Amino acid sequence: MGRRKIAIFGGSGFMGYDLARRLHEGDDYEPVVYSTSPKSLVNLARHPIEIRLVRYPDLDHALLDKDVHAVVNFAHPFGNRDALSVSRQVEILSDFIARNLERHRDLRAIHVSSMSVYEPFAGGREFSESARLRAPRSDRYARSKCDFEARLASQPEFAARLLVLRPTVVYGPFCRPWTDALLAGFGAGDVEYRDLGGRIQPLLVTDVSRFVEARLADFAPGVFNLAGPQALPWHEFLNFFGNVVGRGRLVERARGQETSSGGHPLRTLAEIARLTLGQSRVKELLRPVAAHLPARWVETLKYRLKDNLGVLARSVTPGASPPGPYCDAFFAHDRLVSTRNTTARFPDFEATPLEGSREWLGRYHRFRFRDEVLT
Amino acid sequence: MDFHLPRLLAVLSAARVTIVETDDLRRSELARRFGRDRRIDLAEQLDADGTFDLAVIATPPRFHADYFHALSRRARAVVIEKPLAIDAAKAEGIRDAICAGGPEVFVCLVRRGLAAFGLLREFWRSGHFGALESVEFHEGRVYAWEATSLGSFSKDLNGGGVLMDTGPHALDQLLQFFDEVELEHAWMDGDPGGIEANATLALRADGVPVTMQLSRNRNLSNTATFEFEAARCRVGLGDDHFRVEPSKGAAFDVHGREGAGPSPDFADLFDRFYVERVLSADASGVGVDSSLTALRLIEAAYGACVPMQGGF
Repeated sequence: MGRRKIAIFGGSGFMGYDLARRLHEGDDYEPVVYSTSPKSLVNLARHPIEIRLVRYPDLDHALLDKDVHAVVNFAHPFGNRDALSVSRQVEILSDFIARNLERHRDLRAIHVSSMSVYEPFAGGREFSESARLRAPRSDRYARSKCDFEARLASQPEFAARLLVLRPTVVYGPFCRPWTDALLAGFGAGDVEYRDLGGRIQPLLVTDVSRFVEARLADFAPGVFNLAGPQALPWHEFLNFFGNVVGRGRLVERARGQETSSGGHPLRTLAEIARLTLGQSRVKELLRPVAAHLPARWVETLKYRLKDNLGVLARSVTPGASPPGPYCDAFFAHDRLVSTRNTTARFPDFEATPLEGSREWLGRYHRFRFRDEVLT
Repeated sequence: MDFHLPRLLAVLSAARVTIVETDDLRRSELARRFGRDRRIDLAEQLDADGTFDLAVIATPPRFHADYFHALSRRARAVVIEKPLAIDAAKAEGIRDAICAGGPEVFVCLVRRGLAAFGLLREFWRSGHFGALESVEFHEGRVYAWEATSLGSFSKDLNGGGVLMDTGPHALDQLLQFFDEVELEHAWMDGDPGGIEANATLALRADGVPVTMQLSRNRNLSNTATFEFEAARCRVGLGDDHFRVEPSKGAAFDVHGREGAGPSPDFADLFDRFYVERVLSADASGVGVDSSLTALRLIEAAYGACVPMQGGF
């Protein structure tokens, strides 16, 4: 049997790229990447992988090739594009998947969603796949993720050919918020924080790709959480990246203590997040935090962040005294999912512990941020 | 479009600009943005008639030569985006047409507006820092250009990856400093059939070994470091000044333009290009010859490259 064709959406992102490259380098599958924008194709273009530029308006009536074995979707709209709102783009993309599932009776679909669908998280609770999804209206990112899943689930006739994956915090090469931003942050020096006690289950990007590739051969419909093997406090996760870089420390700042000046400059955790917060996706992740703070606090923090860090936006509340850092709530609370269902169904799947990626990420750090001459 | 059009209107005071855009969706977007400006016409194709004071060719490199030849008898001057053409043979065709009475050509080598390399060359030639022992040149940014087509990622349209993209600028900066540059070795990433995101060139320039790294997915220092007998000089690739670290004594900066200020950004460099070259009808340094030299080096690199190890 020849290589089976796999259509990948979101193949220019770091997760989609990792899968596309894995499939291309293997013997069994031929990836075809559908991209709605020519912007982020630098990595993909290094390989003789077919890239089809398909704008959202064209997706509205497009069909996959008849010989596509499966469609894997990593794409999620983050902002207006082609004069279309995020919600309209979600409609178009989900309808595209549904239309092709209807047209091609052998087609399988793997939709990579996100643990964000469980917002708002609650401390000490591990959210299972059956949890009711109640993302608050203010959390537009989580809401759009839920909407996407809901639209796919609204047609039960496709349920036997649809796999929805909900990965946790995914990190690895070319991941901007949870790898590049952290490496760059520590590369610049010490990082202050107030509370990094919330726990996560970080998941290495290659584990996502391995899991998806395995499902292409052994398809399992349904919804599955995909988490790293360890529940770690943010402190440990960030410290790991500091150790990879080999400079910069996490420095705890007591409440009421202003950022110190003079000598070697200390930066708040929001400085690290400045790179992270610049990513619209992460802005969306942090919106639920704002929903739980008094509006005056939020406005003051926005002003402080914009003024000091060039981050975020719009309104200004001069004269108000700021409360604790904006990022307190996000990093202080647990964001955990249950892996019981996934482990029971896929007992042989083992995700990589954080320490297992150290050498690889060390190499990546030198590649991405140093002038090391490559020959 | 975002760089050329504002300068055509503001710097050159163009009374009429015809934008030729063959893609329907992009033409619609341009109509949305510029449809109300009476100075701007939108066309699906280049008309066979009409003459122009200036033509700007900002298509993918594959089309540079064809559009040049279509316009060479109809435009008094032509601005061509770098690289001059998709390969040296096509670039030579452009050069030959110019020699046969064609228009003045300005290749959009905006870094010619930076003073640092030329100034450092004067210091070197005057023997200020002793013999030059080696040069390292590192240029790399994670690609975030708002590309409107697959052109930058298509070998057919662009001729290659990072070496065709930033290589013309980088090699031109070296050619501002050195008289002769030869390729010794080249390494590139990417599979056969793909286009490179990283290229390393080992060059010899006026007898001096030069290592040049170019990247579209690495955050490199974007500096060139010149190791002299008596000093190390570091130039930011977008700066008008360079830093001198003498083997004895304190470090200091040398500024190449009056009124030292922040480093110019890309828009500033475009302003300089249009004001100091196009408006002044001064194509020195941005004419065809230096572009052709750089293109020949680029072609040699593609022909000689071996797979790069250790990338991601």
